Amino acid sequence: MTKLIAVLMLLALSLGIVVGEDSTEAPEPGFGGVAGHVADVDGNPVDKAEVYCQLVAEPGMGGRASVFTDVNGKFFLNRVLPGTNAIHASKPDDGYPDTMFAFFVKDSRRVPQVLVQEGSVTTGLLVRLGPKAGRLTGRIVDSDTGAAVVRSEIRLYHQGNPDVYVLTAPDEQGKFDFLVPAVKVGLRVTARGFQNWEYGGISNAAILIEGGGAKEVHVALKPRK
Amino acid sequence: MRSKGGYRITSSNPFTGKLVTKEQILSPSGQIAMPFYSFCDFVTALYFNNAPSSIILNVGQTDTLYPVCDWNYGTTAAPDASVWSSNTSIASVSPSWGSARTLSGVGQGSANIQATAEAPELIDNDFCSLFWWSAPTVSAQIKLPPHHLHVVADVTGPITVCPTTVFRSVRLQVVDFQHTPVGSTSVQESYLNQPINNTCGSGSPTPTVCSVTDTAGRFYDTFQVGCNSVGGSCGFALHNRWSWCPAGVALGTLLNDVRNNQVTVEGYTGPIPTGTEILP
Repeated sequence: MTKLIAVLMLLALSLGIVVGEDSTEAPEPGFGGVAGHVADVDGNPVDKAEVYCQLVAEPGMGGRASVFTDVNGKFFLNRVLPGTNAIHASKPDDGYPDTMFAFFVKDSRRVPQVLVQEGSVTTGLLVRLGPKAGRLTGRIVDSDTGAAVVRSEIRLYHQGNPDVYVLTAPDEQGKFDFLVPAVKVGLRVTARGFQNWEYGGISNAAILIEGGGAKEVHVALKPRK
Repeated sequence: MRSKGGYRITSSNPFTGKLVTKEQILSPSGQIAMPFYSFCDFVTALYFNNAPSSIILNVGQTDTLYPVCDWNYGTTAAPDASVWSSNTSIASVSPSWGSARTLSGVGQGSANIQATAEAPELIDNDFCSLFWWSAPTVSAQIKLPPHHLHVVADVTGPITVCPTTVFRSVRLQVVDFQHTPVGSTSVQESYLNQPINNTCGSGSPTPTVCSVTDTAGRFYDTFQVGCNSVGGSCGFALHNRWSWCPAGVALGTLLNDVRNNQVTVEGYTGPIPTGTEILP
């Protein structure tokens, strides 16, 4: 029996679950709850981090029921669908991107998974954020007119594995502002009526921004003749 | 101490019904100057009970205001108080008499809601005289109701916990018909195509119950089939509609094809351009 408890404790620890003393409320009817705290790589609590859950093996659709950590980094999710959930956290303003996307996470084991049951609360979950990402900013314009090219696609990808990517769009002024992990990434911009644009041109150079650093890129798209 | 003169009669306080002594002062020239009551109950404040200094309503929505007086013996309703709006084309108040007044949003903009009432005040700790009391002004901001949705961000990429499956997160914002964000509101989701045939074998999705947006009226609409062992392009078609919770008004409908390796939203396999309107 003692061995079984020890094995369960080890399993919980491997999933990021630490037996703790979080004070919790009750989950909403039909849901389970998850309580814990968010810390940085040094173990310091991260306040105002957004935390949400994702059913791992079922379709995750619609709205995202998220909560924010308090000054001690603590959170309580009270609307978690029963089943195995991955618990994600982010704080983009401080350089911590959404751990949902593989592009930002070096080791997927850092994303804790919890088996949630209806009406019960899992406590003591530790969600680690970090290391901090760098920030890539820029603007996409028509090289002939200088006008913003709003209807464009931006693909950021790990240069060693292009299957690990994020695909997104600039804002209504053609500007973008992304967090980028501290690995070599490629940047490709495409837009209808323009030639494809790749960071570094034909040399296909990589962007590497150290954690907490920043880089600005000017993207001038050439119209197709 | 106010000097007294003139004549004295006994009558009832018009506000409380209590018997009081009413005196009329004579001015130095012998003219009647002002009435006052001695041994009367008196008011110390007029205000709208439990009303914030600012009320935000949508056009067509209502709120209730309760004018009250603080008397020396306690708080009572002030049904005689005059309550009015500084701009009736923006906010109106009715009825003209009663302990509860209905504030109605008429048009977009701001109006001040004011109240006055004539009631006794205590003078020099000794006598009472009628006085026009004014309640602190309540600001009414009337907004247009939620009308449709705008795309503010759209990100797609493989999921951390199963990198062969794609996750798409579309951030939407609730706006009025003039494309102005309505601020914090509540939205709920419904599916227009049922049943949903998920060829990944990972079950069916569940529509989102009524949830509060952020302070700018933004919320996420997310798409993924879930980690599965089928892979490839398994998945399902889904037509989901977002509605404004209080009124059940449809705000936007999205036609989606959610696959393990690609998510198409409104015909876009790539990101929807920022600012795109999503209509009911």
